[in-house]
Amino acid sequence: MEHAIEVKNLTKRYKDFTLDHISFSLPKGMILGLIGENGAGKSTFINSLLGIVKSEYEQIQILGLDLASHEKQIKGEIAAIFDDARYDENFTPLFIGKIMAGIYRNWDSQKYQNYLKQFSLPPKKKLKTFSKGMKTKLEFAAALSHNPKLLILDEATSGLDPIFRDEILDIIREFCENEEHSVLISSHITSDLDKIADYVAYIHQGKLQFFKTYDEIQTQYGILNCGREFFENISKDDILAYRREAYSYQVLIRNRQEFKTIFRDTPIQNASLEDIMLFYSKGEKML
Amino acid sequence: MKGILLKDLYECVCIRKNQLNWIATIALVLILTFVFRTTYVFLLNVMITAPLAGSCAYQFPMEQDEIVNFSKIQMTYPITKKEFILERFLLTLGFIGVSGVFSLILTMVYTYGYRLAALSATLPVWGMGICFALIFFSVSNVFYLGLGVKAGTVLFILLILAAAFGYVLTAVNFGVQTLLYMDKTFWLLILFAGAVLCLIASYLISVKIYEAKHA
Repeated sequence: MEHAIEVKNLTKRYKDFTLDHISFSLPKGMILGLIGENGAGKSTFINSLLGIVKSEYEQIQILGLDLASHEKQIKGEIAAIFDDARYDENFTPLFIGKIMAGIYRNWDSQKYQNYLKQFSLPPKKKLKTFSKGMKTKLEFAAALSHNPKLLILDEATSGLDPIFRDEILDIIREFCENEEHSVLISSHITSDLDKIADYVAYIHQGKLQFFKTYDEIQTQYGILNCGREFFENISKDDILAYRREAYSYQVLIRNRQEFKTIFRDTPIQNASLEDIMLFYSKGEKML
Repeated sequence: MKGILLKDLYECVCIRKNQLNWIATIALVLILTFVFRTTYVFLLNVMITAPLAGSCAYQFPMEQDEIVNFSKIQMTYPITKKEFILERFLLTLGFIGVSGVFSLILTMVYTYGYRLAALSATLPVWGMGICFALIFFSVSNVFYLGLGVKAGTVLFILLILAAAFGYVLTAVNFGVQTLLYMDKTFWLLILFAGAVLCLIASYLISVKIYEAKHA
């Protein structure tokens, strides 16, 4: 099976932070949600993947091509949208189209015009008159109009209202209707990833905690509310993390299906991505 | 690369504050030319001011890129690091060419309009101005790329002051008339060779700096 992204032992060292030996493979046609708290290393990972910062790695392959030797070719097939990098606000969408036409061989001007119409973006108005949502939509229009096979979004929807975010999710879903297209989306808004992600990678303090399919997460993880006596009877191997409440425990269970066969009458709630993150970062671990 | 060239060209000449920069520089040179028809101002305009104005063109897109962090998006484009640097060089060489034409027109005005000196004396001054512009760009570009816009601007101003100081020192020690009428062939050849070497070195160093900053 060809993978959209294959990473082996990607490491990036800063003075007080290390992105430590990240490895995973994302199959083609999938949406990967990259989650983690602020400063976890999500943007560092994306920047390293795109060659924006120098990093050490055993292997990075994007769309089946080695990054070190095929960087230009890879970048012709990918598009990236960042929260902290934008186009000059003196540009108009029309002018941005001309810039892109001079950069990408497979730039599709007609497709770009269609996106501008679809997103109701005035082609001759300067970006300084656009709202944040409009600027984001423009970036999507520009990103999608050279027919990329991989879309990388680094907090691209942060600061947008729920309506805009929902529209962006629709754009991503439409993009992924083509099985050759894959998406890597890094976001704090885990509720969006709950709606859209096929795979989830969780980075915590520079380390990859897990890389699983969303279905696996839904099947394997669960939250149990119980008293102290019950908590002390749970096998420690089943507990990923727990939180002590005033009179009870909230426990993140790692193998929910097996747990239910033993404790049939015990209700176990689904664990959303936000729940998992909270337990990993704020919960107590079993020693 | 064409797209980036188009973007940088737009940022050089179509953004209001940068347009005003160009207009102010051209106006200043023209006013000096029409008011002061002296050898001193001829040398200042044709050898320093007009050519150096062209060599600063790359700063405008760099400043705009830093405001919106566009270089991060640029790194995702199918353009190699060498091509990025080459594009910047081509852009600035184009502007040096345009400012060269402008200073050539000024040279003709001083030669045939004001009859300051013969073409054989004034044309080499124009040539030296082009060489100074190329050398100045080669040096200042490396500092801008290595240190960023803010620190690069400080260094740029120091380089301008050094150039001005050098000019004043030369004029005081040798006299402007001597500068104008001396045989400049040898110096022109040295300067031209130096300019070419500086450009090549600057390109190679710039590529290294850019590669060191990114993967």
